[in-house]
Amino acid sequence: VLDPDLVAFVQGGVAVGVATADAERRPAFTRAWGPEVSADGRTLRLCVDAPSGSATRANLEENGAVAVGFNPPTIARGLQIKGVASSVREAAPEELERAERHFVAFSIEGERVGVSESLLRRAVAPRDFASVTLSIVEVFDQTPGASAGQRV
Amino acid sequence: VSELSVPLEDIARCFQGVIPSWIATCSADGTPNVTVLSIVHYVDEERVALSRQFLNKTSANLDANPLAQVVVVDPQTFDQFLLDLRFLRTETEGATFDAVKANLDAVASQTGMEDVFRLRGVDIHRVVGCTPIREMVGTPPTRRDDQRTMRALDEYVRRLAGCVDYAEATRVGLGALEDLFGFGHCILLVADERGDRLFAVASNGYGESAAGAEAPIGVGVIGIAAERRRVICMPHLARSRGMRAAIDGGLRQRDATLTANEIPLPGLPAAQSVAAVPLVVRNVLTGVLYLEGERMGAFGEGDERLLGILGGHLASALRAFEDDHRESPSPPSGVPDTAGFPASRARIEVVYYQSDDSVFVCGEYVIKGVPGRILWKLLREHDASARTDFSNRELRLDEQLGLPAGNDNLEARLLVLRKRLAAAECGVALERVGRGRLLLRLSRPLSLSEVQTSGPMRAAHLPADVGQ
Repeated sequence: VLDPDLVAFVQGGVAVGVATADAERRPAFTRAWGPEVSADGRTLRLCVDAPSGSATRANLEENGAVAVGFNPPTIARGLQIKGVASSVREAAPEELERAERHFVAFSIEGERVGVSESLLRRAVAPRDFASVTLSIVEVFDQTPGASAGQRV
Repeated sequence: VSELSVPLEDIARCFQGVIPSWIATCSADGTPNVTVLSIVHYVDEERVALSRQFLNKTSANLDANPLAQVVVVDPQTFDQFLLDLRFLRTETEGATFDAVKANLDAVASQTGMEDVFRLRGVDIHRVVGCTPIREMVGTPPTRRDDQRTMRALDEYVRRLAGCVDYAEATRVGLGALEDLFGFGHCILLVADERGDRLFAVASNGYGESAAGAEAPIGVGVIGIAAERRRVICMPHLARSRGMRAAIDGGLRQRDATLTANEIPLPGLPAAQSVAAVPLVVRNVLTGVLYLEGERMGAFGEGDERLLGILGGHLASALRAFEDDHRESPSPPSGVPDTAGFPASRARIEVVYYQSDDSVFVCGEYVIKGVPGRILWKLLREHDASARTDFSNRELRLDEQLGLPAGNDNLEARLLVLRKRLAAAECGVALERVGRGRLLLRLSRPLSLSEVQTSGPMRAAHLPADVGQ
């Protein structure tokens, strides 16, 4: 269960990375946008850049095991949520809007290193979302330091 | 030759560590894991290295299952590439480990995080796939880029070859770094003979002069580059600092503790990336070339070799001037007679402190250490005999100055002294008036006083027969 501080961090415009794996234990990475934690703090819904035919989409549909990482650009703090996807479907319009708001916040970092939003949109912005809902099984603090990787 | 669909050499900017990378791994029981990396290091055309620091779950996964996927990002185009990796081994020594450790130690030292950044090893991975996530925006470097760099290097060498003295070589060298390579903010530091510090002799791109500022060896980006003799690049200062927001970068931090007779190293307030290049000649550390940039990723993978060449050539040119002990045949004619000042003019009050050889002129600190001793000798000689013409040779032969035989850095010391006197506008100036010849110029008569020490430096100031 995520407490309000962690929910605020997760939903605060940080970079989101998703890992899945196939039956051969081959990992696959992709980005995700617009994370939203349920009111009871037990489930996470987000738009995953996982078009049909992609390894991530296949993994989500085959075994559902998923890890989601959250990091600000400074990577001074980090959090990882592991869980099982309970739903994988096409994103609804309000989820796309939420993802777009998240992308705009993220693009500010791109502009800080001299990359225009239009360039960033072409290079990074997701096009083929899958809306993924996962039950949160484990949460890890991944802030650099001695306690990196410990369960929250 | 690499068989990757996108050769790693074509995406060198991705390995500068400007944009963090993600790494996905999978445990033995099929549970995926994802975490972020500050940098993926390029090793060669088919291998990369990842530092083993905080990655507890990632490391455990790789030991059980060697497959990993990493995303790297080009900071100029934001092109993203997925690297499919196969973990080979963890190295705890060797060239790759040393290079990664030197950079990490520099970041840690600069940010006061020595206790956090402990490198346990570097994981060497074979890259079995490199795929752009989207259609690429950027274009890989071309032969034309290489030719442009070669032309700039040719011009750099030509300009340095045309220099006739040490001071000119520092000025022309640093200027060429800006004109030809766009490195517009740099400081040249020379290694002190004692081996524990460096002192700045020249700078370019800062409002104030760096001459005389010191940096300890073994501390901070400059000090670690000197100690390890490795080019250090910090492409993302903000992130390094953000790791511990309460602690500012070491350069500015040190300023706060400066005493009255220390000179601060200048620094760009908006520096986003820095690099430090050790200068080595005949297997001896002779100095460090320090560079700052206002853009993230101004220095990084791909620049290290270029910086090494630029620094190495400058170091060799400067060493050649230090080793050239020839002198102009005779003092130049027309030396002004500075003894005939009107008695009514206020004197230049000079105070010399034996304890650290510091010299204050009219109450203002000018210099200390070896150049302080040199200045004091020149002023005393002038006071006694109205001499204004001096030679490098007599400075080298003066045992009381204590210049080490063979590697005295005399040209560097004199350049710092001349610059400090010029900046102080104190009525005392020292000019180079020919090869190995110096002219002391005074605007007013001198008034010298010496503050003796009873401390550990006392013996050095006693006549030889008393001090034994």
